[in-house]
Formats: sequence, C-alpha cells, structure tokens
Amino acid sequence: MAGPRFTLSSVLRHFLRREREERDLEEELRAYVDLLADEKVASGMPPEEARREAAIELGGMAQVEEAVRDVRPGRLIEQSWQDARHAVRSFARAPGFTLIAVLTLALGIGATSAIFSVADTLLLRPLPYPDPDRIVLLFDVTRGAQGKPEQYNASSQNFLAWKAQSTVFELLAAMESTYKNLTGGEPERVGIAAVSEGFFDLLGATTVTGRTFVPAEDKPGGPLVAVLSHAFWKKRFGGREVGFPLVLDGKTYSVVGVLKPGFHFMREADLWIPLAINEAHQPQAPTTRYLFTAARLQPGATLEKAQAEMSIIARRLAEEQPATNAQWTVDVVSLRENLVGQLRTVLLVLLAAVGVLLLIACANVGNLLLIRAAGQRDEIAIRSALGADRWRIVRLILTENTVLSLSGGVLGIALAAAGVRVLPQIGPHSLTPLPEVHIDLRVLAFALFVALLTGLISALPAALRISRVDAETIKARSQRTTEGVQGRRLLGGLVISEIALALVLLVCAGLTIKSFRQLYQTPLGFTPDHVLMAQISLPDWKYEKPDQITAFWRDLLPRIQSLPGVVAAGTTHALPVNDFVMSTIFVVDGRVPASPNEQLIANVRKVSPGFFRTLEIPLLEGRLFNDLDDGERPPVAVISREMAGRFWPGESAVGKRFHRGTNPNNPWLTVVGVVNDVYDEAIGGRFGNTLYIPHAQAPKSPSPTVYLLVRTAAEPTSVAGTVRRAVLAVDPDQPVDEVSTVEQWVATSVSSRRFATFLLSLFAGLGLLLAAIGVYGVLSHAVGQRRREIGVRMALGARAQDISRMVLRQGLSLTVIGLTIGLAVALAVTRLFSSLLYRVEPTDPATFAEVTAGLMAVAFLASWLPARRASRVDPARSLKQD
Amino acid sequence: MTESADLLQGTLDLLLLKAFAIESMHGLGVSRRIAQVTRGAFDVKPGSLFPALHRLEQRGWVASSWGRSESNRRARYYTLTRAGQRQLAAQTREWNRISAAIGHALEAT
Repeated sequence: MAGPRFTLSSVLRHFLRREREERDLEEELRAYVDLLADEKVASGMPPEEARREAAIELGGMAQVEEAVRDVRPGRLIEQSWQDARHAVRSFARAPGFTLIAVLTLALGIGATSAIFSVADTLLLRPLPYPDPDRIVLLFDVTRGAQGKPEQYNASSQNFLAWKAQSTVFELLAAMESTYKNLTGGEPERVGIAAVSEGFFDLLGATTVTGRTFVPAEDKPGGPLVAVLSHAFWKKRFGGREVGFPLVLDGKTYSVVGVLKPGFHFMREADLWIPLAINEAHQPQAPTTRYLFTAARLQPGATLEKAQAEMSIIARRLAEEQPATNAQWTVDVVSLRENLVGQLRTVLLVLLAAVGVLLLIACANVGNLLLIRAAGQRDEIAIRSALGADRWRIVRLILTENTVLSLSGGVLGIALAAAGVRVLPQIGPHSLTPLPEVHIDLRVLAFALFVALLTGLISALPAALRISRVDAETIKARSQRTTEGVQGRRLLGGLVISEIALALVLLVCAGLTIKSFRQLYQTPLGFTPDHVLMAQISLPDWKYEKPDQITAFWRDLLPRIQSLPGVVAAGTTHALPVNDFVMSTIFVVDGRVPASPNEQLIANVRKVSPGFFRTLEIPLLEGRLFNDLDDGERPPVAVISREMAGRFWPGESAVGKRFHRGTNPNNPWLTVVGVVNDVYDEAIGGRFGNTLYIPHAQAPKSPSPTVYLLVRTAAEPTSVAGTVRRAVLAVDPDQPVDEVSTVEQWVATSVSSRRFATFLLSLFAGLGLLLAAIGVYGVLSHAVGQRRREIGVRMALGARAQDISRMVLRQGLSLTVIGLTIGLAVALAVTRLFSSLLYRVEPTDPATFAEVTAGLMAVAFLASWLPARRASRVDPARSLKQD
Repeated sequence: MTESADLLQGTLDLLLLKAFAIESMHGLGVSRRIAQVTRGAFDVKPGSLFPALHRLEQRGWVASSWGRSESNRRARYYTLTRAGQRQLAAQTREWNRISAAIGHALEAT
C-alpha cells in the first residue's frame, strides 16, 4: 500500500474539525439505519420492526463509531490525552493512594536527581578550559615515608629541564601559589599565582580588558607586571582602567590586564605575576618542590606517549643530579583524572545507593498499582467489551502511570532543589571549593527521564496483570474471588524484592557508619579540642633576615602565653592531619644502607618549643625543645616513635644523629627526644617518619606561613581578640589570618566521609520506611481480600489469635524470603566498595546481624497491624457480604 | 466478515474502490453492491465498512459529501478521486499478479 498514512496537515485538520466530524459520523450512521429500515419496509416488514431490525444489524452505534475513530489520524494522541484526564479524575477520587504513590515517587526521583546533579557538576561537566582533555599535570614522584609512591609539585630545576627536553607537549607551564601583602590603602594579604610563559595560553585564559604577559616579561629582572582576577579587580579597585600600579611586599607592579570572570586553576588567586625563573636564577632550593606544572599535549600525542617520554627524561635527570633526583621519577596525569579521581568512588557509591532507593520506590508504587488494578477490573472489562484490545488497555495503564510519575517527578524536583541548596552546609569541605551545585536543564532532563522510566517500570506488573481481563470475567466475578494465584504471586514478589533491596541498602549504610565511627574514634596522637588556630605570614621584605623572624616570635610567644585563659602556645609550619607537610631526605649516622640506592624520607615540621604542649603530644623519651635551642646552639631534633623504632630498634634514639639531604657536609642533627606518632595525612593512614626541628634553628622557609596554636582553658575563640592585640603590639602592620580551631580543622579532614555516610544512611532509612510501607500495604490488602475466608474460619471455630497468627505468618514468610535473597546480594555487593571501608570487613558479621534483626523487627511491626485488623473481622458481617 | 487482517483489509479496499469507480454511493449502497457483485461471498458489516470508508477518505482515494438518496433521505456519498483511480489500477495489477503466482504454485506438484 503506497502513500503516507498520516501527514502532519491531516492530523492538524483532524483536530480542528473534530466536532464536525463527530456529528457527521453520527448522522451518517443514522442514515444507514434509516435506509436499511426503508429497505425492510419496502419488502413488507412493519415499520417499527424494520427499525428495530435495522438497529440490530448496525451492531451498536457506539462500537461502530469507536471503530471509525480508530482509523482517524491523531488517534494515539487523542486517546492518550483522554486517558490522562480520566486518570487525573480517578486519582482525585482516591486521595490516600494518590498521596502515598506520588510521595514515594517524589522521594525516589528527587533523591536520584539531587545526586545526579552533584555528580554532573563534579564529574561530568566539561572543565572550564578549551580542549581540556589534552591538558595534563606533571608531578615529581618518589616513594614516600610509607613506601608508597607520592606525588609532589615540581622543583624549579626539574621544571626547567622538562621544558628544555620534552618534545611531546605543545605548551608547558608552571605556577607557584603563594601569598603577598598588598599595601597602599588597607593592607591585605592576597593570593598570588606566579606563572611562567605560556600559562594563560595553555589554559585558554582571556582578558576582559588589557592583556596577559608577553614572553619577555617572564625573565628574572624583567618588568614587574600583574594581571588581576575579575572579582578582585572589581572588589578592590572598583573596575579601574588598567595601567595603574600596586605594591606587593614592598615592590611596585604595574597592572596590565584583568582576566574574564571565573578563571581558576588549582588554587585561588587574586593576582597573577610572572614566575621569572631560569637556569641561572632559581630562588628556591633544588629540593623544594613547589611548582604546579601543567602541559598541553601535542596534537596526535597520547598520555601514554607523554608518560613514556617523561619517564626517560626523569631517569636522565636522576643520573645527572643524584643529589636531588635520585629515586625520583615523573607522573603525567590527565587534569580531569586528577580533579575528580577521589570523588569518583564516593559519588558512584551514592549513585548506586540512590538507584536502589529508586527501585524500592518503584516496587512500592508497583504494589499500590497492582492493588488498584484489582479494583479497576470492571472498568477494564467494559472497555474490552467496547472493542479495546490488549495493547490499548496496556496503553491506558501506562498513560495513567505516566501522569502519576510525572507528578511525582515535579514534586521530586522541588525536593531535589531544596536538598541541593542545603548541600553546602553538610557537604564536604575540601581544599578546592565545592562548585555551586544547582538544578539546571540537564538535571531536569534527567529527572524527566527517570520519572518516565519509573512510571514504566512500576506500571508493568499491573499492566501485564490487568490486560488479561476480558468480558468473561465480569460475568464470573463474585466477592469470593481473590486476586488469583498469579496476582498474589506478583504482589508477594514485589514485596520480597523490596525487602531484599532494603536489606542491601541498610547493610551498606551500616558498614559505612561503622567505618566512619572507627575513623572518628581513632586516637589522633594529640588532643584537638580547645586549641585556637591562626595563620601569621611574616612578609619577606620586612623580615628578610632570620634574626628578625626569630625576634618576632621571641617577642610574641611569651606575650601570648601570659594572656589570661591561655594554657600554652606554640607554632608550626604544618598542621597534623591532612596538611601539606614538607619532606626531606635524611641520612642516619652510622647506618648501613639496606640497599645501594636507599633513600630515606621523613616529614618535617618546624615548631616552637611550646608546640608539643599546646597539642598535648606526649613525650616518650628524652626532652622537648626549649628556648636554648636556637641558631647559636648545635642543631637538634625531636623524632616520632615510628621513626625511632624503625632506625634504632631496641635502643634509645636519644643522642643519635642524622643529617638532612645527601650531602655529607650537611650539619648533623642530634635527637633529643621522642614523641608519640601523629597523623600527617588522612586519619587512618600508616605512620611515617616524622621529625621536628626548632623554628629558631631554621627560621626561614619557602612558605612564610606559620600556624599559631593556642591552647585555652575555655572556648578557644574567646581569646581570638586578645591574641590579635598581642600580635599588633609586636608589629602593628601584621595581619592575623584565618582564625579557627584545630577541632574544626580535624573535622574538615573527615568531612567528605561524613557527608557520604550521612547521605547513605538517609537513603537506607528511606528505603527501610518504603519497604515497611510495602509490607503493610500488601498484607492489608490481602486481609481485605480474604475477609470472607476469615469469616468462614472463625465460624468454624478459629480464634482471633489463630487468625492473626495466620496473617503474621504470611508476612513473615515474605520477609524471610526477602531477607535471604537480600543477604546473598549484599554479600556479593559489599565486596565492591571495600576500599571505602576503614577497619571494617565488607562481610562484617555484626553489621549484617544487626541489620537483619532490625529489618525483621520492622517487617514484623508492619505485619502486626493488618494481623490485628484480621483478628477483629466480624464473621457474621463478612459472611453476609456476598 | 471478521476483524481485518491486512490481506482482508486490502481486499475490501479493492472491492470498495472498484465499486466507487462505477458510481458514487453511500455506505449501505456500496455494501449491497459488493454483496451483489461477489454473488453473496462478501457481506460487509458496518463494523468493517465504515472504518474502511473513512480510511480510504483519509488517504485521499475517495471524497465524501452529503447527498440525497432515491428515498429522499440525506446520506453520506463517496466518490472515487483521481488518486483513487490510480490506486485502483495499481491494486488491480497487484492482485492479478499475486493470484497468478499463487495459481502457479497450486498447480505445481
């Protein structure tokens, strides 16, 4: 058959002329009957009989009309719209069912959308640089204190060598992240990024006014120029025309450009200045690894090729510069991988969890729909008699459920939007700020997709079930018939799967909670509470000589210690737990190297004598630093227990010697004390070698930031004001930054775990609630269906207890099957995320047992109410109800 | 006549188009004509007739309009269109081809 069936114009025409078409059709059919009757009369039949016969021969006006309507264009749309309106009316008539169904769907869809929104922003969004998948980061890598490879920023020596020797990159640039004091007006400490040539091109940063740097400016002794961030330009200089000067750490820079808003790379920066280093002029020591290094791959080059070439270069450097590069190699990592790598696992787990929650919600709604379908039997039979085929009826059910799931979706989006707004308060605080997560078009599209899918899935059992109903059933129907074996099985099956899914979710949440608790209860090695924390950065230009620095602290610390409410005070360059800590190679006096190329690495903290007391790090042997350990006296160190035990096992480490760096002429440090281990990185890692040296013996550092720690008797923040005043008394121009407490700092370091645990528990709790509702709903319905049977039993002598026990047994058998399946699945699944668990086995029996027992109890409770109701059935009434 | 499978639907369409090629008729009229012409083999009931008529109209092969019957009753008359003529010719050719082929197949041993 040739020719298009329905063109767009025919559909439109149809909708516009629908009224008239209907009237025409009716008239046409009447005419048919009339003409037929005429025929019969003409052959001798009496008129009334002729009319009757003719009407019968037509076969029913409604049916013929339906048949004609079916061939009209736009039928599908018309029917679906009709179905939708019908659905809304019928849902409005059953508010209880509708409310529960919509809320359940809203929960599932909302939670899924919220998590997707987070995942989309953090993982899937394109990075804000042109062609971002060709951008890679380069790291100096060595085996760290714990024997695992650790990535560090590059040393200037290495960066320059890479730049000179590599061929696989189109552009290679470095960035130093530092701080300087901006004066002239209100003094302010500003974030600086010192960048090498090609940096802005590499990242596609463009200006909104002015320009970025030219290669000639990235030379030592070159012109002092600066580029501002858009936000800083607006805030500090009110959008002033470029070309004006500003003073950083006493030097005058000329502002040549302002970047487009929102540019950001690795660290926050207010200003960019040229890095200005070359082979001859490198302000930092060759062992100082401080440069963020990024590169853009040549077109055609792959990550693997780049890694291969850089490894060769690294090996060459290790041979040429063994003092600084022996045992070091290079890692080339894609930018995207670096930024999202750690988040990925957590987010995937959360997505999986929320997916399970959604499935539970589907099962619940599926249950509700099945129950509702039983009541719809009459209506379906009538439609079927009117000529609707099975597919038509399935379409009806699907349309109804799309209405339901879209309503749930709309509500769910609202919930998700609210949830996402709350996110920053409970979310993880990591070094890079959490980008703003909000609901946008992609999330809406996703939610729509989920809503439609959910509608489809939850409708399937009901649709399959009900489409079997035909006109015969309506005749055979009586109050006596229950769901029928198939219907009961479907209902039961749904509940079982709900319970199984809920169990899996609860087990996962339980394991994560336990893991988190373990983490949080791990002794840190110091006491974090009641310690105030502030950052003080003595600017280079004012405190050029080491003596000046020492003098400052020698003046300040006693002042602070004598403040009321202060128990102890100290300083350190690096906080324990998850702060960037310096590391150093060291050589032990008199030690036979375990291997020819052995390189020992330790984390270094420069501290004041009061540091240990302030953080309450116990002294195990020897002594702590005192005021006599200064630049004039022999160098001393305090080491951690781990380090002492590793290098001087079985004897006292006090009095032993080591020196830093590989140069044998470096001064020896004598160990004067051993202290307890403290976590340098994330809590729960292994302890590495840690050594402490007195600040007074090495006052100058690449990073001038020092953390001032003050232990207080009362609330730490109560002394913030007096501490600030004490600082100003020593140097009126010295700002005190980022005042907070050590406790907050520690909490921050576990915040992402806490966040994941919280969310997982929330989903598990919701899943449990939904599963309980599911059990309750199914059993209630079953009781309702079996009312007559119960009446009979009671009439035959069964007691109320027997009846309720019968219902309970039904509920329990469903539960037990569900639990068994759930346990099997859970055992398989938890193995997958054992990497996220801390000191907890993925098959931890205690957690499994507790969760199973809890779920059992809840299911029992959910079964108990219908059981009670069953036992209250009045046998006389139920038997009369036929 | 039962609900149409595609083959039966196609056959009915062919018969209707052929009937309308001779003269314009209303629904009852064309069903009588078909019964007559096929010597009683095809008795088209309204449940199949009217959907078929409207389908043909949908495809532009017939056009409908109000007219008056001999008994002066207002009825809906269907007329073959130009496109319908072409379709009738094409379907006739197709039918002849198929029936010849099946005939050959049935003759073979």
